[in-house]
Amino acid sequence: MSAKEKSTVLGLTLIGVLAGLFVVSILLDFGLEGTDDRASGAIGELRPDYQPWFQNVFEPGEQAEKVLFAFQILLGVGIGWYSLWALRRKNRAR
Amino acid sequence: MARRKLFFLFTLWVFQFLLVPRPALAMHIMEGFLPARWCLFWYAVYLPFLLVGLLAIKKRVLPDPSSKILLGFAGAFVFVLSALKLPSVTGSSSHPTGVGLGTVFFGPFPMVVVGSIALLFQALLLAHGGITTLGANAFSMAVVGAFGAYGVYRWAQRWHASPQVGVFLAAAIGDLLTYLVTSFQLALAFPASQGGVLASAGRFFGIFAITQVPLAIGEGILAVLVFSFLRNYAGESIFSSVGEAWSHER
Repeated sequence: MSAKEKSTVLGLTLIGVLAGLFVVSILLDFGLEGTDDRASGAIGELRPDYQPWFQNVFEPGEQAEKVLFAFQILLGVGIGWYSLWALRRKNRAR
Repeated sequence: MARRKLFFLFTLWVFQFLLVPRPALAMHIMEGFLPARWCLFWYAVYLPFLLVGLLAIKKRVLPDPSSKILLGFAGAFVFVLSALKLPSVTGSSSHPTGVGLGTVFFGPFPMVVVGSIALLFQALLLAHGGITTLGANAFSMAVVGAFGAYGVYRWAQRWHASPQVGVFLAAAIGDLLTYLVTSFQLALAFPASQGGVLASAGRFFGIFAITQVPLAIGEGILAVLVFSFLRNYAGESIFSSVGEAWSHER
């Protein structure tokens, strides 16, 4: 397999994996508790009198949270894509 | 007119999402969930690493355009992975961290800065983690995660493991270490009445670490895939001017 073919296969696999992870993470709802929720439950049992002393300044709603997570993923993919484009351009210039 | 009405309705639709309260589902220590003295302690431990990380970027990354681009790519990987909320075997969900891959290119210090940016983004916009707990969360993910991954990668190179094996181990173990440290941080702040810090740590390990094992393995595999792709796509010459980790490998 040539380097270009290998690169194409790896690239397509990567796109497939990322798309699958995006679906599992953002689009599907497994109704699972986050590990931090379990941890805060454990804190409540270890120190029943403990009250959080500060709240998040901004707390998005459940749907907004998904939208913002999707935004973070897309932002990352966008930066990654741009970086790859810039790397290829730089390589060609050499 | 119809367009304005549509825009107004769309704005309302977006805002209703922002106003619906939700239970906090974060991967890190939540806002206000560490006593103030521990928040200060972890900030004090973390900030020197951040400072050295900024200097490392200024000295080693910014002067070289290829390194800048590669750091952007490593940052993109952290951004994508830390936003993925994935189900695990324990019936709860958690996130990978993505820090390990970048340490292979740059060493640990620049990744302290990259990891911190992702954490700050999540603390401010997603209510995941928090500003008061940023020092603790950044220490576990951006400092211990990065240094652990780097140490593992160097160790793998010493044993003449292939770069792929090194990247897998670095990414997976860096991810796991992050959550082990989170467990320890919580245990220090909330020791059990019987058994103290160790008993409490065991309990938090049970919550974080077991959930994280399959996710860490997944992160390792994904990091290898990205690493191999990058190597093929951009050519090895792209690595020639970056971090010491790569030059040691060669």
